[in-house]
Amino acid sequence: MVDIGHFSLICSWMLALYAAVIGFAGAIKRKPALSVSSANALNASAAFAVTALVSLAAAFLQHDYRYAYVWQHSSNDMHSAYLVSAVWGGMDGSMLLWAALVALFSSICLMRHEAEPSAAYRGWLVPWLAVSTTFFLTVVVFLTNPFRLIPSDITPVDGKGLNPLLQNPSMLIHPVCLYLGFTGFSVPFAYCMAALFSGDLSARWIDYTKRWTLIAWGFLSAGIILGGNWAYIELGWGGFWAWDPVENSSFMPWLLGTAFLHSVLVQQQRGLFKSWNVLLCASTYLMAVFGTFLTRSGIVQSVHAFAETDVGWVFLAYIGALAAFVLTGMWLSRRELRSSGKLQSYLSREAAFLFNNLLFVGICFATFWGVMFPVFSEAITGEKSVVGAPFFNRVNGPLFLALLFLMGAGPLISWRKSSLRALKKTFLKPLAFGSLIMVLGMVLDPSRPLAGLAFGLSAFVIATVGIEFHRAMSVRKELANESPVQRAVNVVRRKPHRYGGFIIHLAVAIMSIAITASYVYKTERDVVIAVGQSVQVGRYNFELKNLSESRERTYGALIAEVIVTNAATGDFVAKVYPERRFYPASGESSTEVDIHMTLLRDVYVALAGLAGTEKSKQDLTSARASFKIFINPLQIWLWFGALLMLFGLVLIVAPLKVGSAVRESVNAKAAEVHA
Amino acid sequence: MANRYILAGLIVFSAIGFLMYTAVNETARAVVTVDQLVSGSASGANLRLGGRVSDDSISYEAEPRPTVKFSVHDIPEGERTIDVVYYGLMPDTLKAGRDVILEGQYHGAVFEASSLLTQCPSKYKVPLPGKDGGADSEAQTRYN
Repeated sequence: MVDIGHFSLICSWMLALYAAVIGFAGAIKRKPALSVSSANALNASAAFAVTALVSLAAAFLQHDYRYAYVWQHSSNDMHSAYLVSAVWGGMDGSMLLWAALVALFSSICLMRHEAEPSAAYRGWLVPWLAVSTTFFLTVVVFLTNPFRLIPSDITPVDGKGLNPLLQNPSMLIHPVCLYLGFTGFSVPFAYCMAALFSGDLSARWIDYTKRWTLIAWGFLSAGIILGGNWAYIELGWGGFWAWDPVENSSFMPWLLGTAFLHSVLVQQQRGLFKSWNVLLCASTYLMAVFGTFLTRSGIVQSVHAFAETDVGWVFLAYIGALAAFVLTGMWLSRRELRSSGKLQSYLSREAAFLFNNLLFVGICFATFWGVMFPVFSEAITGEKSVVGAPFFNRVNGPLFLALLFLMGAGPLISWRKSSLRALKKTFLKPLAFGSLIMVLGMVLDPSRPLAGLAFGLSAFVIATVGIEFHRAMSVRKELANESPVQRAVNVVRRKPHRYGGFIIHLAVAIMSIAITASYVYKTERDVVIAVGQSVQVGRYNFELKNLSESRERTYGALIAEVIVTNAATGDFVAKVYPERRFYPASGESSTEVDIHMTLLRDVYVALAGLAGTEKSKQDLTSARASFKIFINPLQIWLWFGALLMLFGLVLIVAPLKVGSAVRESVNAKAAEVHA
Repeated sequence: MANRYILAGLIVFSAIGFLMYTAVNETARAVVTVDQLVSGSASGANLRLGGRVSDDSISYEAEPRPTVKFSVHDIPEGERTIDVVYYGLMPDTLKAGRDVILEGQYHGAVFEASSLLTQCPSKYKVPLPGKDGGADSEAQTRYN
């Protein structure tokens, strides 16, 4: 029983290695039998990897402290949900999760696309899938093995416990979403490499991987947003994004993946951007791996404390090797990578996509530069410097505004070439609406012109989406007797990619409004309030009604009862109970903020502790407490926007009736090309 | 046709280059050590100082204005220490022996920190129990 996990892990690794070696041999010598054997081995490898992962979870649930990793990351008093999440609470387990997901995805991908690709294509696909799986399993087996036993004969009766900050519902799904996103990109990468090495560089690899890419992108987006939500609710600093290196390491592949999702449309429609798509697809995957390097190598300082180990450098070597293969493959198929069309005009949709891509890649480049700035500055000037959030906001803010403009404009411009007259007709109304909002914003607050611009551009996007839906629905009006809701549903079902995409754009515009509002118009105050007294912050009065202490199983808490009233009218607004918890086992404290959320603003109260130095022996009825109070306008719309974005994505990827008909036509086309 | 791509790339990347150049000039912070500050080889505004909080050096006053004072030394061991003042609420995680990242200014007397980040003691680096079982018993006593 002891080592089912370890045994499965080793088996999984050996099978993946076999699959990679035999798979490449089969592809080079064009022997389909070897490819079949390789695919079988890869499937078996996935089964063993998942078994290893499940065994590790079981070891956590059974408090099996013979495993060093279990001992380090859990304790007897933890809730069983958090015992499972402790699997990815540290380096070793998160690497196993990563490897198992890559293996599982490879296997699912092989089963799903069994019949579709040509023999030569499939011959190269299997080993490239196996390469990712083998690499991550090698790291797990030799460098971060979570099944290592403690170097002691006596089994400890209890473990060290998991950081209380990680014992939060978001932490159950946030890392998993991120890993699903990161690992999901390994599949498009394998398809892309198979296309390069088999010489089949039609848009087929893109057709095959589109849904994968969208799903991976969706998980990555969800993971990033959940991380922001966790930071907002749990960390007590009133914000959701700090441009920390660890955040950036998930944001950079997201940027490249988003660029890729847009640029593939150009190849599908117009046969342009072929090499660019190969580069973007490969960079997205490599950037996801780079994130692992960044967070595990200790090369840049971060508040997210991951171990500073040498493991990171293995990832850098892997990235370098794969990059060399990508470039070699591109060189070998340079003829097939030539565009079959040309960019006729800047006033065309493909040009809008071009600028969209340049901006996404540019934001990624600037973010990369900012993250690596300590390393670069030391290498160039000999003195180490760092840049923080102000740098990222100042560079990326204007670039995102430009993207926002393109997001509204792009979908309305026609392919190939648009006339100025057509543009005028399409853009007059949304542009007028956007300008109106912008001017209104700038008049109401002349000191922040960029905020006015951001609101105006978001309004422009919302107007274009609204007009586009309205137009599509009026066409249907003449066709059938439907209720407006049915009509909207049918519009989306007929062209899920286009209208699902519009919904995602609408969601991004809403999120942009929320982000702008909360960055620019946030109120933040540190205050000290005595029991029975009150303090005014913004338009609210905060009265500290009561302070109390409570003792729970794993922590002790100080709880404040704060009554929030409208300062002008005296009307009751809310009663909030921010808490401070102290965990004697680990010596850590944590803040439990209380947030009164409304559609217009969040009132966010964090209890920082008792004021005064003699903290322990104080009479709570006459004590004073320190608070951090934030008033964040429109914050809730960020989370609504995120949900709407995922909803739009589901519309695109969900196998609706019409969607599968489209897929069949793609298959038929593929079969045609084959014959 | 290729010219259209090159022109587009040039436009976008020169805009990005310009934004990055000005932003770096205005927001970059020099990374300094306690040793450099005390010996006078570094000073000024826009500094980032990484250090370890010295034993028994933390004091906090909530009024009239929340003020945290402590001293830090270089990591892991430093003979010289520097006094730090931070106007803000006492962070939970600030304790003697913890590593902190401070951003602020220094003009020869006290490091005035405008931001204070404490690095969480990493749960990813808990030492393994020793062969003699010493750490085991420690783990037991801490929990029982």
